[in-house]
Amino acid sequence: MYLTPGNDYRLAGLLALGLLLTLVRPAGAFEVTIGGGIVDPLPIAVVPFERPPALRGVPDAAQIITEDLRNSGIFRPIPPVDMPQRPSSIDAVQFADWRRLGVESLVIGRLLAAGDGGYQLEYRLLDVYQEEQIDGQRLNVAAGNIRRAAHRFSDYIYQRLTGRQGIFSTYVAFISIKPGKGDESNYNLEVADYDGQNSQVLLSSSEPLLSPAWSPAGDRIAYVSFEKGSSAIYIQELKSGKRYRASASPGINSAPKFSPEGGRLALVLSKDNNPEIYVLHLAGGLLQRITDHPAIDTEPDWSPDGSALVFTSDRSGGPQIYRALLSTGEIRRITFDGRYNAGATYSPNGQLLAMVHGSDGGGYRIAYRAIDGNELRLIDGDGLDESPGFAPNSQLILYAASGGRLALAPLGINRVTLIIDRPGARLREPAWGPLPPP
Amino acid sequence: MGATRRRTGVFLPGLYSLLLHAVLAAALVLTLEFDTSRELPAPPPERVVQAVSVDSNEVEQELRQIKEREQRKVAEQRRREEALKQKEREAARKEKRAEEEKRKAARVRKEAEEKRRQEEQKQRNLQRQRKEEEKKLAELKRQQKEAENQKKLEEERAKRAAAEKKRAEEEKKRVEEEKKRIELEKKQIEEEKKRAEAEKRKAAEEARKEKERLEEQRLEAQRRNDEALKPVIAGKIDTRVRRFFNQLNLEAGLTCELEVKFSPDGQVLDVRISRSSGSEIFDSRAITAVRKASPLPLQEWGVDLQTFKRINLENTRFVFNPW
Repeated sequence: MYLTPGNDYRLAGLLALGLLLTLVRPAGAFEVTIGGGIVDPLPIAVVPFERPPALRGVPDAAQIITEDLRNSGIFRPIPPVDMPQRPSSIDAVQFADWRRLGVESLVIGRLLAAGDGGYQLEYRLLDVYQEEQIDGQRLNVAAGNIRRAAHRFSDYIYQRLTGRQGIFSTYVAFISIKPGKGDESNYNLEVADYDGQNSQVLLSSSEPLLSPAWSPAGDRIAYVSFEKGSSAIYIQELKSGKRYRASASPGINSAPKFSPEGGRLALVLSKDNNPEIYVLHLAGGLLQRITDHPAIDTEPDWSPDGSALVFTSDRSGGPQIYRALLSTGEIRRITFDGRYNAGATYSPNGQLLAMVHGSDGGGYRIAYRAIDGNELRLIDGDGLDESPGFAPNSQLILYAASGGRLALAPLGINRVTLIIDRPGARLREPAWGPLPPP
Repeated sequence: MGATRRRTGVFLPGLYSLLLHAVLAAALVLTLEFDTSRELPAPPPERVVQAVSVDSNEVEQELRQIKEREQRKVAEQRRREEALKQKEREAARKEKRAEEEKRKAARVRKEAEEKRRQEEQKQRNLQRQRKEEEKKLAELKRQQKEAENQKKLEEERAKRAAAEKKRAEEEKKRVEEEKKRIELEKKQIEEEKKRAEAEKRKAAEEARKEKERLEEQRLEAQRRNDEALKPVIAGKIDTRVRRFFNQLNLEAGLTCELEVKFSPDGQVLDVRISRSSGSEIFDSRAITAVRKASPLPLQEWGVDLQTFKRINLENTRFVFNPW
C-alpha cells in the first residue's frame, strides 16, 4: 500500500483524534445508561425543631414544614415516631441511620427566643447521601409569625429539591357561606394562607359574593357582589380595603379575570340579552366585545401571554371550551372529550388547561391536559367538583369539592393531599393568588 | 660381647706385662739388696728433724738421748750386722754365684724374652703398621669409595637433576599442553554452553511466544466474554439504579453523565458529575439514585474481582437518559 501525502495526513489526523479521544475519555470506562426511573414522592424527614422549654407553646415550624411538603405531593415526610434520632446540629446527624430508612433529605432546625419577644428560627437542609448541608437559613420572626416563617422555609426546601418555586407563602381567596337567620346566608370574601390557615375576611355580605379573582400583582381582588340586589363587579385593594365598582351593566356582570399585565378585565355581560365575553380596559373603561353568539358564553380566562381567552360555551349543545384569539377574533372549540367541559383555566406557565369535566358515567371532576393535547387527566375527586385553579407554580390545583370543602391536588399524583374545610360554613370558588413579589 | 672380648684381649697382654714387671721388680729388689748391703746410706738427720717438728731444749735433750741411744743401738747393730754380714757375705757369695748363674739364666731368658718381646713388639708394630696401613688403605678405600659414592651421587644427582629438569620441562610442556587442552576444552565448553544457551533462549523465546499466543488467545476469549458480559451487567445496573432514580417533577429531556467509582464489592466510593444536565435537581437525583443503589450485588451477578477489574467497573460512567 502506498501512502500519498494526503493519506498520510489523514492517518496522522486519525491517530491524533484517537489520542484525543483516549485522553478525553478514560480508556475502557464501563458504561451504563439509565434509561428510566420511578415517580415517587421524595423521602424526607423534618426533625422537630429544638427549642427552649419556654417556647414549648409556640407552634413547631417543623410540623408546618412537614405538612407543606406533604401537601405538595412531591415529598413523603416520615412521621417523627419513625425517626432514628432528633438531631438539631449537623454534627449530631447519623447519616447512615437515615439512609437505612431511605430518607434522602433531612431538615433540622432550632427556634430561639430573641430579645424583642420575637424569635430566631433556623433550618438546615441536609443531603443524606452526600452527607452535606445543601441549604439553610436563619430568620428573625415576630411573635405570631411562626407559620409564615415556616412556609418560607418550606418554599426554600421545595425549591432546592424540586427546582421549582414553592407556593407555601402564597394566599388563596375564596367565598365562605354561613347560614344566617331563616333563609338568609352570610357571605364572606376571605383571604388565607394557601392551606386555609390565617384566614382574613375582606368583605362580608348578606347578599351573594361570587368569583373572586386576583390581580397579577396580588394587590387587588375582583369579585362579583349582589349587594345592590343585582350583580356588579368590584375591585378591592387588599391593603387598604378600598374598592370600586368596575362593572354594573344591566343584566349579568360576572366572572371577572385580570389580564396578565393587570390593566384589563375579562368579564361576562348580558347587557345585550345574551351572556357574552368582553374585555374591559380598566383605565378609561373601554369595553371590547369578544364573543357574539346566541349561546351562553361565560367563564373567560386569559392565556398567560395575553394573546387569547378561553371560555365556556354551549353553542355546540353542551358546555365546551372555546378559545378566542384576541388578535384575529378567531374562535375555536378546543375540548371534544366528554359531554361537559367548563370553567377552563390556564396554568400560569401556559402549558396546561384545567377544567370541570363531566364524564358519561355521571359526576363532575377536575381534569387537566396540555393546552393543545387531547389526553385529559382526571383528579381523583368525589364527583361534584368545580372551580379549579392552578397554584402559581402550576404544580397544584385547588378546587371546590362537594360539601363546601376546598381540595388541594398536586399534578402528577392526581389525588387530594389537603382538604380545607370549616365547620359551619361552606367554602366555594377558591382563587389562588400570585407569588409574592421577590 | 665385642667389648668383653676386647677387654680380654687387653687383659691378657696386661697380665703378661704385669708378670714381667713383677719379675723385673723382684730382680731389682734383689739387686738393690745387694746394693744396700754394700753401700747403705745413713739416713740424713735433717730428715728426722724435719720429720718431727718440736722446739726448744726439751727437744734438744730428747734428741741427744735419742742420738746416744741411737748410737749405741747402731754400734750394737753394727756388730750384729757385722757378724751377720760375715755370714751373709758367705751366704751371699754362694747366693751370688747362684744368683749370677740364675741371673745369667735370667739374663739369657730375659734376653730371649726381650728378643721375643721385641720380636713381639716388632710383630705388634708390624701388625699395627699393617693395621694402620690397612686402616689407611681402608680409609683410602673408604675415601675412594666415598668419593666414588660422592661422584656417583653427584652423577646421580646430576642425572636426577637432569631427569628432573627434563621431567619438569616435560611437565611444563605437559602442563602447557594440558592448559592448552583445557583452554580448548573450556572454549569448546564455552561454545557448547553458548550454543546451548542460544538454543535455550530460542526455546524460551519460542515457549514465550507460544505462551503469549496462548495468553493472547485466552485474553481474546476473555475479551469476547467480557464484551458479552458488559451489556448484561450494564442492564442489571440499569434495572437496579432505575428503582432509585426518582423522575418526579424532573424537566423532560434532560440527561447527565456521572463518573462513579465502585469498590469490588459493589460499594459506591465516589460520584462525580462529568457532564451536568444543567439542572442541579436532575444531577442530584441521579447521584442519589447511584448512591441508593449501593452496594451493587456484584457477586450475585457473578462479577468476581478479576472480571470487575477487567471490565473496569471500578470506573463506571453512568449516562442518565430516562426519556
